[in-house]
Amino acid sequence: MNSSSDLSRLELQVNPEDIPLYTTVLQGGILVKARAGIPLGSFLDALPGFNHDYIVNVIQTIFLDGTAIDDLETPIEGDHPVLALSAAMPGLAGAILRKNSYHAALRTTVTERRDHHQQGSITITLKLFNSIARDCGPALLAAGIRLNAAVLRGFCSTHPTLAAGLRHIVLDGRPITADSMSVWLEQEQTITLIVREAAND
Amino acid sequence: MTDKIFRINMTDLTTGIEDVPAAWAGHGGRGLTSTVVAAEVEPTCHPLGPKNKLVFAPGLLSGTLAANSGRISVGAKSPLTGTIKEANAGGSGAQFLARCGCKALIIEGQPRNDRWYSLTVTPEGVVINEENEMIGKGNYEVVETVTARLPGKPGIITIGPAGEMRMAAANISVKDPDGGLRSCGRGGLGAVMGSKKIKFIAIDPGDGKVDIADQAKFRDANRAFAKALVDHPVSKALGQYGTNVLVNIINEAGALPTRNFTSGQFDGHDRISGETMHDTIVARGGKPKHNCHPGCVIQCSQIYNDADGKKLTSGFEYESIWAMGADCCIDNLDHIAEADRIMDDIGIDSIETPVAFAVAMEAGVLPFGDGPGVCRILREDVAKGTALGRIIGGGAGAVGRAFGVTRVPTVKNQAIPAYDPRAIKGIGITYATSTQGADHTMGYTIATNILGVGGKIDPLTKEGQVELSRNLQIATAAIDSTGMCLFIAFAALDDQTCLPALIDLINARFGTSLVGDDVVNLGKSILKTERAFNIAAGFTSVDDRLPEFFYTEPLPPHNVVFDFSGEEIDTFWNF
Ligand code: SF4
Repeated sequence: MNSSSDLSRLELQVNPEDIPLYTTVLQGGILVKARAGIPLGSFLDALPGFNHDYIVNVIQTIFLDGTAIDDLETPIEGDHPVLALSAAMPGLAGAILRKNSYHAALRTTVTERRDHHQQGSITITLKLFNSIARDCGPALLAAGIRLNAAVLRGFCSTHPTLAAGLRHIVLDGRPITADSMSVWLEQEQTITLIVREAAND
Repeated sequence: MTDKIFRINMTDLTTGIEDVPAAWAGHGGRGLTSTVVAAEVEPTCHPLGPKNKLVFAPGLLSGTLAANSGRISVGAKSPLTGTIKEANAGGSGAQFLARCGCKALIIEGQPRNDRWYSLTVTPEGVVINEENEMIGKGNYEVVETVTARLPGKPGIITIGPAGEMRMAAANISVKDPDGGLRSCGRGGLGAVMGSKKIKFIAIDPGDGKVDIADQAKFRDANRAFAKALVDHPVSKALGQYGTNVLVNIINEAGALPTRNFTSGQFDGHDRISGETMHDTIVARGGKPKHNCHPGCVIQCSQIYNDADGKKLTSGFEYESIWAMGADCCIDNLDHIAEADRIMDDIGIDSIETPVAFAVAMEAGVLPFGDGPGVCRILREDVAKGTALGRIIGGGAGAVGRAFGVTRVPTVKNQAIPAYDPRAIKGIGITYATSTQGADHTMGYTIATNILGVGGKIDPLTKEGQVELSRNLQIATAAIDSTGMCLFIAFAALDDQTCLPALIDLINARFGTSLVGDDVVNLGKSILKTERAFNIAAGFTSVDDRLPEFFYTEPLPPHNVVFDFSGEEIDTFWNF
């Protein structure tokens, strides 16, 4: 969905049991192009791994530019909008931030500064947290995601043991080693990443 | 077995068993500790003197098979805040005390000599023993040695060196079934236990069992209650990631206090998040899901191993990870886990102490982000009681006063935990008005509408927001009396079947016929009792305020300040 031909494509073929662990990379944010002003619900509905029921019932906490959102019709606008998704969260803070919560009145209201007549396309940073990443991540990763190389570098540094389970690494159609991948990642800005199950050798 | 009050006088080293006064019969947990402290402790007494009393109380349902019912409450006048105080924890203490027939253990007086003691509690009563071997030892060694020393598998409640040195941030630890530690963390109650010269309490219930008035009704209610807990989506999140699931969310909201409360977002948040922690635990063969006492069906605890697969710490919670992580700018989970283990061993609050470190970092005592430095100071200064260690062990307020720092995040001298009240103002009302100093657990979420305390005023007005916060605190005070883990509150009390099942459990246990209104009235009376104690101790509405900087320093990234005036906050007590 996001793979873009002008970016290098890094494909990681991994053991099936490791796929859920790779979904944690989504907490760092992926880059998704969309039409300026697209309603939040429509934007999510078009992504691999999402569907209407899931968006309405399971995604219980939504932030747009750090503000908790209740309405799925909220337009996504601005130069660099950041959208973050989570399941229902614990505690008083979790309840206050939850979509359409009875306790939403206890939020701090942040003054909105949105241009409501933006045209063209925008790049949305989409962050997926906790079970939302686990549920929707595998489909997104298989379809390919755009992300800053720094996000993948950070992920690799906190998940050092995952490298051992990498079956094949393919960069723009050519197999490479884990070491060369690290060197390459240091030099890149934005990449396309695909993570999928390795075929049985 | 009929419930009794077990009383220990440490001045003349005597013990006794008393009938439960009628006025205390309907209380357990926090409701009982606060009722006893308010009835028996002189509010103006010195918290570390002989007139203060330390009260342990299992919850109303502790010792039964009710899910998540094994929290133990400890109460006293706090040496940190000077207010009435209750702190609670899991572990096996509550279940074992209840099975001894002990409704409350009241420790009063103070030895006239320098000797140290331990207590052994059984259904027959309490025995006071002189203790030498364990003095000066850390909590882990106490648990290991005392477990080996005594027959069976006793419950153990202990203090570490911080409690012995009567540091204002000292906690009381409770052994869990795996030999790990759970902490009654806040308010310095470990110092009160130290002032009574009690190093540990061993509990052996033998064959003791808790009476249930109506077994069949109890079984049915417990089934419904446990199902509501297990099915709730928040329970699932807690079981998978623990409370640390909140790091990413609170950071995203711009409410994660960072660098001694100067920002609401932490660059290293994804290195310390619940998601990263979960993966690290799995990769190192730890347990991402674990319970702090038998019967918990949520299992928000976990066992975190080091890189070599050796257990480093357990019960690694969001507030502790935030405090050592974002507030001190330490983005290395292993350093945070090591500090957590040392704090558990020394017996010192893992919220108060890291917040104290962050204030010390601002003062230039050590750099922000210095994880190894924090561990070194914990080991070499706090554990050994050097001058610096005692200042840090005195809490965030003590550090601020010692080093002349003005940005000190405390209310009633207790450190503000993990949610910045500028970015989530409802929490600020709780911090300001709590009877026990800044404490996030005082206003946990319970669907106030289900409990019948839904607001009557427009919640979008400030008056309505204060009313909503008040109702949350009333409901929380009531739940705190049951001995239920508070996580049931945010997990399940917005489920229509869960609260009635909880009330059914209490009725089946005692043969009572409580209804929802009784629960609300219980919550109100607990809050009023605590408030009356504080007023008699010299507190006024001026103490119900957030520190000045929350009003004057906008918090990035949203650049918001806390904007409730003193008069608006004071309406909290209009009930
Ligand atoms: S939910 Fe967590 S704190 Fe509560 S009883 Fe279970 S393990 Fe203990």
